[in-house]
Amino acid sequence: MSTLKVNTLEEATAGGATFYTAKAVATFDGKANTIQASANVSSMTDHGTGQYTLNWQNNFSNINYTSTGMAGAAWNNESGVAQPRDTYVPTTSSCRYHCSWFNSQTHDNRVIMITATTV
Amino acid sequence: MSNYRVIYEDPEQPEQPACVLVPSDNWLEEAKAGLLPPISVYWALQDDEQQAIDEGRHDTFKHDPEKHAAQWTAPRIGPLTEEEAIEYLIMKDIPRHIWSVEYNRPMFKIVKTADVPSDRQFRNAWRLAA
Repeated sequence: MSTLKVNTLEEATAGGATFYTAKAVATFDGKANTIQASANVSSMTDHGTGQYTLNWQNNFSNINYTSTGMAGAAWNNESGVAQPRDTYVPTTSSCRYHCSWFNSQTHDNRVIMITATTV
Repeated sequence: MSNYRVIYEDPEQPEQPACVLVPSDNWLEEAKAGLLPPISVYWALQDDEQQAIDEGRHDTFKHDPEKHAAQWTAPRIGPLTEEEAIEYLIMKDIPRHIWSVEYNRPMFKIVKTADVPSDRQFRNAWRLAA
């Protein structure tokens, strides 16, 4: 395997946009407590129903990174992934996420997919 | 998949259910391959961040570039067994006050994956057995 080391990835066209790549990704099962796939994630902590923390393998340089997440199972199990920042401030080494129905009740999802990135 | 999980409780949050730490397979492979930096690299970063939190400047905090880069540049510690890797992970990913302080009962326990209950109906009532 070879490693490509660059500071910035840009489109080849003049004035092209800069590409920001994902720094950490994880797909995990909130019911079975298993991580199905991950990169730059050392572990996942299950805090209770629908409440999880991803622990980053390599720390971010600051806490202002971006997370996006999706969760769900059957078509009638639609729910959201939230990062409750007022209660659980992210750290450079971990970030806590909650899965909840749209009435805010937390619940376990069979598939939870989260990506974190930073500039 | 790892044979182990770590169950722990936070004595600072006694009303919260027990937590389950699940190791990442990718990370475990790197640990077994000897690709991890010394745990002190992560502790140095945690200390700096905790100081920023204590001083109320967490929002604008940024790691010292040299200490941050040590995650990749520090000499690797060599291959670990799965059991050693789990001990390393405890010291990296579980809050330090849980495993470094002696309480009147154990606050964490390494268990076999199969020993974690699969029925999550009463998940928020889980406690660490004595």
